Amino acid sequence: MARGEALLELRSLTITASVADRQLLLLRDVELEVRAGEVVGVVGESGSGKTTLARSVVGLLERNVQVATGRIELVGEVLVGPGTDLTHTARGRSVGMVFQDASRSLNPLMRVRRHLSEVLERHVDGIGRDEVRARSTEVLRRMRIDDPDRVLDSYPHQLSGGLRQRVAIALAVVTNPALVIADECTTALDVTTQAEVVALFRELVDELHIGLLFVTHDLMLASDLCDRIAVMSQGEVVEVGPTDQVLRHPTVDYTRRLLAAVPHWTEGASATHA
Amino acid sequence: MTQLDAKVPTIVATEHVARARRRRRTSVFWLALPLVAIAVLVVVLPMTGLLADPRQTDLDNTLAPPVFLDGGSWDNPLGTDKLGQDVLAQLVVGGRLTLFIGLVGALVAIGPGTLIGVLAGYCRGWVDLVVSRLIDAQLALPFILIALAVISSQGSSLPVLFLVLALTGWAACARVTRSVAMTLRERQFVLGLRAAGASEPRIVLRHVVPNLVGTIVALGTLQIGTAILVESALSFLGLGVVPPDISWGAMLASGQDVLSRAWWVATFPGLAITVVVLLVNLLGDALLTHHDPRKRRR
Amino acid sequence: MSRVLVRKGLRHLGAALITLWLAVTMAFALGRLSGDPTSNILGPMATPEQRDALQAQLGLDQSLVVQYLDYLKGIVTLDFGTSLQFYQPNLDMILDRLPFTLQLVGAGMAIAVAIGVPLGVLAATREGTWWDRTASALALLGQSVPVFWLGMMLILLFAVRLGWLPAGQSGSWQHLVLPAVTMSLYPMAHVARLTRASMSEVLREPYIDSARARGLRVRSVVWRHGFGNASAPVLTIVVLQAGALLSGAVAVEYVYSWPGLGQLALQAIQFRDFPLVQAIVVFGAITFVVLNQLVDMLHVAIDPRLR
Repeated sequence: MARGEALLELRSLTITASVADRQLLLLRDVELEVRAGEVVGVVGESGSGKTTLARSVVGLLERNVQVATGRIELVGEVLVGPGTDLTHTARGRSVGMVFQDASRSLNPLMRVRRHLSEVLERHVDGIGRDEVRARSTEVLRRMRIDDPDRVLDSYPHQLSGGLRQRVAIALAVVTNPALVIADECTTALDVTTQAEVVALFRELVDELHIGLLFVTHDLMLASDLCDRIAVMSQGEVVEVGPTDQVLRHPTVDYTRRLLAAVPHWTEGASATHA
Repeated sequence: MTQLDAKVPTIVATEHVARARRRRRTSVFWLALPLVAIAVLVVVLPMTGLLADPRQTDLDNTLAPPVFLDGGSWDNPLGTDKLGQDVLAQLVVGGRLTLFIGLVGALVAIGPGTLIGVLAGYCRGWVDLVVSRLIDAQLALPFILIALAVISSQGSSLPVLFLVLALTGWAACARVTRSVAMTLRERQFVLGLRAAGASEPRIVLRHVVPNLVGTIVALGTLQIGTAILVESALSFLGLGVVPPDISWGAMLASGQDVLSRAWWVATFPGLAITVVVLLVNLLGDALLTHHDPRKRRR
Repeated sequence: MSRVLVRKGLRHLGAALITLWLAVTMAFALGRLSGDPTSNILGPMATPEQRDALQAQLGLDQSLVVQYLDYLKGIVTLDFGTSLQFYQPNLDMILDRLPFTLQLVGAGMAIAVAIGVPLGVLAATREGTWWDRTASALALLGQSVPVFWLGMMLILLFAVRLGWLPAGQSGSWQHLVLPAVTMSLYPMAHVARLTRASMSEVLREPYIDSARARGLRVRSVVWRHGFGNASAPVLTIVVLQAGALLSGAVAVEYVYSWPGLGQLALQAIQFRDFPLVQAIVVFGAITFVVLNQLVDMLHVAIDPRLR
């Protein structure tokens, strides 16, 4: 995938929830794209619709939630559109997802090795046992895990929070998807581990030219990692643009208020944070 | 498009909960209603003189079929048993004893069970240790074994039946009330009362027990169903209610040996038990959901 | 690591022994509630001489403490006493009947699990739908029917009316069908309800969402990731129900004239064979406590977090 090519395109995406014979609007006319080798941050308060946006791409919406209008395209093909929902074919194959709570996003009864082999066997046709083993070790190495064999033979509860999150990321990228979605995936981690995970993501994007949709409520974090930022409020994307531009010269009030709510936010604060 | 509203979460939540709560309240009412109706019916109906005498034997009219089969008549709408006794009248009068056993059987299990459970959950320490072990040991003895042990030394009678029901029912009840009392004990309002200098017995009686009432009522309701099933099983085996007393379980026992010739003798009391126990279980379930905030979320 | 395991195991074993001791003590106390079962055994017409003789035979002429110690000694040395009506060691008779009951309970529990688990999973994966409500209602119905009455109805339909299957006795597999189905109903309902409750909790766990996001087959998500984690309480109830049924299937065995432990217990009680009743009660308590231990071990085997 060449750098700069549009990977994920959301076109006038509107998502509604039917609750007690009423239709409630969760996303309204969202326009967004993620290019290969690019990190796009989605920021906003809780309830602004950023998680709905993330989950719509992998088709993990609640049963009473549906795409009303608009479409989602992945690598030029319609994933979700009028009358089509092919998210199940993309999940794990061309889109990987990392969730908020790494300690609980792994099956407690399965070793890490089993998690990885399960995904590989599902998505890589005709893969042999040796290749599964090789790719599992390799992906953990890529996650900067020094002793992949020990981690592979561990159960989730035997690993630290940071390691578990790396394993979760490994699970999302082991099948070489074009796009990775991270939904608040650093929230449960301490500051040091957060920084490590952010650095890891940057490396993955730069080396593998994947696209990353990074959902967070943490503006500092977003400013460290993202090339572009989309600000969401009440189900709409109110502002989108290059990180520096959005954060230094916000055009809408909502973004200004978000920035004002960040303690010690000054112009250029992002530089000191990294 | 006016009904589209972007500020979703709060509205959704409150409306949803209120609606669900209303539905639960009405479901409790509609489940309790037929039970009360059945209870009133079995109490009042024999007084009206509309029914035959349930103990009147008629050896010329044994195993008469119910009215909807060939040879049936309105004299015995549900037929007669092997002694010519009217099945409908027996069903109604037997219902009295069965429901009575269900109610009292639940009370004798719930009473001591709650007391012991609250004591253990609230006092903790060695009391709790002893009680927990006792509960485990009790639950290690299947109910039928306890029944056998007691009945083999005591013979069968109504008081023995209640003793069996108390012995087999208290542990399950104590286990639940113990855990509820344990969480109540640590709740903010109890800690506040204690800090304010309220005496322990007062806290338990005025604040902990009232908070348990919902759970106890629900458990008691479910226990009624269990008691009726235990009664029917023991009476069926000839170890509970025995003739001339009539209960649904005793009717099943007398219907068993004529099953192939007169299916109605055993079928109707069995149906009656099933319907009543099902209603009781549905009601108990609804009440339990009502009082278990963990379950209420669903 | 392994030393921790050993210590844990020993503590478990200690707790089990205490539970067992309490249970057999309860059984002893229950049997002695009136102080003297002989009047009940012999009936009102018995002479004082007869009563004294029986008391001496049962050891009831000694003080309660001595009786209790004798009783405990009997249990520890696996001497369960001698039957009053069969003049045989109680343990031999229990072991004679055990295979029949095991057969019945095994078949019944297999049916219960084979139907109850999928039913509960179905209800949980379609929570709130018509499927769920139907499955839950069926399960509740199953817990409300007197099982032996269901047995009678099955006999009426399949043995008397249709003549497809034998109504009683044992022997061929055809004899096993009706009793096993009857026996399975209550545990099936219990298993279905428990599976549903446990599954619906597990399906809310983040690892289910993330398994779905990884594009795994629905089957793997529901069974490997979902039911795998929801199975612990189900396993517990299956084993404990089996334990309770081993000695507690009296009514079902009676309806089908099945020559198992339950029938033996019923005979014992009808002939007021006090030692045999006591032996069966103690045997039931021991199997139950042993199965309880087994469940704990199975849990450890399944869940690495418990190791």
